[in-house]
Amino acid sequence: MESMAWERKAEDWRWLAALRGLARGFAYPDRSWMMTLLDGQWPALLAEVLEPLGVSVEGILRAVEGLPASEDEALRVLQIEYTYLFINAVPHLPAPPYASAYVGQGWLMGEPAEAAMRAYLQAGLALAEDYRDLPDHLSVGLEFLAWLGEQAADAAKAGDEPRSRTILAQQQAFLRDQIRPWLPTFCRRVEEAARISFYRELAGLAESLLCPKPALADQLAGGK
Amino acid sequence: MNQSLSRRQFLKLTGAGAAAVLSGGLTAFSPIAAPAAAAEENGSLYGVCDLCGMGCAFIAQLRYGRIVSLSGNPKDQIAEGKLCVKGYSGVRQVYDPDRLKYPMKRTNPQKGVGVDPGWIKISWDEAIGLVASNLKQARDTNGPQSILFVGRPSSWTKHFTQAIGTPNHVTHVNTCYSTHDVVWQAMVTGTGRSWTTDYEHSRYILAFGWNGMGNSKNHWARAVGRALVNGAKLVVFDPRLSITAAKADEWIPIKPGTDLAVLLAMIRTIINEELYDHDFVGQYTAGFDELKASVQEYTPEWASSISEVPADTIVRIAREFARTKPAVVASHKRDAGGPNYANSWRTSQCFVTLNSLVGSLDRPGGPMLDHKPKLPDLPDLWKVPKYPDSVKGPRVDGLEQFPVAGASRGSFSTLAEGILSQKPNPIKAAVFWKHNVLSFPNPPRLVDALKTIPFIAVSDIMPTEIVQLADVVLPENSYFEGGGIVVREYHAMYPQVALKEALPTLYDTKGFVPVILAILKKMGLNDYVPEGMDPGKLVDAQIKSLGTSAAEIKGNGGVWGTATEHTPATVFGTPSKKVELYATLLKDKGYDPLPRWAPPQATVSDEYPYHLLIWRKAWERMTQTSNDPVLAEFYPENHVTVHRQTAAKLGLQADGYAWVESPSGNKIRVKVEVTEGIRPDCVAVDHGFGHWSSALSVAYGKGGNDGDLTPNHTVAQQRELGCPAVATMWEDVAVKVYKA
Repeated sequence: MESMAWERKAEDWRWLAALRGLARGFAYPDRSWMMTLLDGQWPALLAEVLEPLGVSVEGILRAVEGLPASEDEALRVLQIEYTYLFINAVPHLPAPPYASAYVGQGWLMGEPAEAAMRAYLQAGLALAEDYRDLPDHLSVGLEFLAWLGEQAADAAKAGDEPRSRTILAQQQAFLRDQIRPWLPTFCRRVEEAARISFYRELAGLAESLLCPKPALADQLAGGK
Repeated sequence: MNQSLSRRQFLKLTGAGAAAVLSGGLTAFSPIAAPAAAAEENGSLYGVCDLCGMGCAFIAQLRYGRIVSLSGNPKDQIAEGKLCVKGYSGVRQVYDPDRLKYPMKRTNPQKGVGVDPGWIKISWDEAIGLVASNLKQARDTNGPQSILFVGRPSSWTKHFTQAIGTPNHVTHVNTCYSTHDVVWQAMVTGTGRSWTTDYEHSRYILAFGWNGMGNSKNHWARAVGRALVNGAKLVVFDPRLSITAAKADEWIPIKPGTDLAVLLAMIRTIINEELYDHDFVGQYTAGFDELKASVQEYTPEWASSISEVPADTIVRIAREFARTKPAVVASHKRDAGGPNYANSWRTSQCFVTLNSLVGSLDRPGGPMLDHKPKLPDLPDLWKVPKYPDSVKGPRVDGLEQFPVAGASRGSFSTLAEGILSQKPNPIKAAVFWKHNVLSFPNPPRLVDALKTIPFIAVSDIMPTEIVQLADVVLPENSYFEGGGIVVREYHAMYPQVALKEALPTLYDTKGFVPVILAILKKMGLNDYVPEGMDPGKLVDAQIKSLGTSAAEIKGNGGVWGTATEHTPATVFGTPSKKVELYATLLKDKGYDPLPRWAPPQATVSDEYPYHLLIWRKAWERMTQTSNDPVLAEFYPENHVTVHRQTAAKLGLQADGYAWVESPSGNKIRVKVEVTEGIRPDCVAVDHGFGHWSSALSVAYGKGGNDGDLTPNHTVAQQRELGCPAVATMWEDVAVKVYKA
């Protein structure tokens, strides 16, 4: 049941755009992205996808509103918090955004990183030369999910239904095997450690979208 | 609030159009021409371990760019196809979640233990710009001597400091092997020490505090083991039953810091009983008569009264050692002749003297001279302007006042007081490269000193204590991620180099050399970074000079060089071209040219009744291994090891906790280990613990740092002690121990 639901949503442009939005949210904040945050484009997108599903975006809206008025200062706050939560931190790095940190033995570039690389190559993608981080980073995994959905939609539009289904199956498998096993633990850590509400709310939204509780899964299945 | 309202209002206006901003395209990916349907991306690369100086060559197996296994390179004369437990752990450092990943700067100006630096990720351009502008400001305002560099000596780091014009290039060698280096320079080579010893073919191995089978050195554990299988005798003088002592034919629990007395009496015995190698001594040494005269006062009975080793034992072992050929006195770094005691340099003199008397120097079964290929270096490739005269000026560690110690060696012992006293000048900016504050004696004092420096940049792999004090963090490649060749040194029976193929760099880390060249350029010192100056080009030139190519080395199993028959040295690098038993260099510089008795610095007292011993577990490599979760599970915290009688006297229980306190003003709380394998008047602490950097999530808060117990020194104190190698004197400390 759930699988069917996700397959149907996977081609939905709003769903895919929301994935893109989350992927960008879990990448290092830069000025251009922050402007989509501050001018409302990015929250609007999330609202558009999630509010019809009964997922509240009030928290993230409040978080955006709570950022400093100065663009420079808002960017600085977001970057310090991102560095603290996801890169290096004192007292401890709270939430390394890599599957390998949660699945397996705890050090990075474990089996999940290898599985991610394998999935990317099978889908016809390699990590870009200027991509500096690890293959199982949450942000890159979410971008991959979105890209697969877009490819599936393109195939469907072109009348190649079998190809569309194959790609959707790849997307479903990646979500099931590479994201869901660790995302809730990651999100708990972010929620517990975050010192500003933005990333706490972002983690909550990620979990709502990617690891929906059964009721939400039903809603997604109905598309209501 | 108005702003908030406007954001919400804007949100309503934008509606679905917002999606366009965030849809389509690839940022982290690029498409590939042919999808690799289920293709395995397997491979391997040659590398060289950097977790200890042994540098075992390895082969890494890769899958999808991930290291999945390591093995020693069978063609490497050091590794012989095997790595040690540390070597295998190296992969976990590369993949440690705590690893430094991107350049960062601190946003919190407060510095100290437990203070959050408020790191923020920055670009390399910004990081290099910040370092360059701060170094330039210090240089322009306070002179180049206001800049401090702490890091290992290499052609590149020397070039960096000299181009800036600072004399303050401080290295770790006086914590590690400076005594051996100075003694070998004066007595044998004219330059510095050699590292290779042919233990495998020795028939009698005599060790004083040397724990080569248990410390970490993979090759030596094997080589000594083979010697023992072949019937060699191993005798170990050590106050503690080390791994090597446990494998020995005899363990002699000598009083700490008195090895010198035993050695002098052994030299006397061998000379007076005519047991020395007359051919070697006659042909290849100078100063025998002076030596003979000077050791006459050192009778076995006298040595026994100092060392608590029975006189007849001293005589017996001296005879056995001289009569069994080949025989060797083992040494490496922090043994009794290493920079552990005020008299260690004299002990090291005795090591060279004994090896010369039995004729094993550069002979099979003995300590060997370097067998290294001559490779081109920076000046052979690039012409740069003369360095400023300021590089020869007075240093913050005062090393220029120790004429044999050599400017490239440095003194960790005197650095803190030099910074705090602002003599000869204040330090306004510093760059640290992979040297942590816990590697210094009395780290709390050094932290106080570093807090007075307005700007500190640190290049490292892990978020160690020194990184907590950094204004700018420069994340470095691991040794898996840097390419090149590495000359075989710690066991080089013939010239050989090993290939290092680079694993693709993780995150946004960089090798240190390109970073310091970029800093020089940004400082406007372009003349010192001529067009094309690049570490890769130097490697290319070095490989070319060997008459080979990287591809050929790879095809040859990752090594260059074939075994050749050893030609024993007949000429040495001293002024007399002989092994100088009477070291004229030391004499010329005002030091004893002959080994003579001098006591260690510390004496036990009612207040501090125990001798401190420091040792290292085989799987421990300081900061580089202490955050490894597997090794930590294996051995979570360090111990203070005490004799059963001492434990009973102090009311200490095994696995309980004790405070160990020294005159350094520091104390550490460590778990108690009770044993029969230590003298009752000694306590031993193993190194590599006591991290206060909470960013090391595994290592943080576990055990105590032995170095806290070792006092640092002023230059005046070091001058008074009179060690030409400015020894740190790690173990020349008396401590008190009490229940925690």
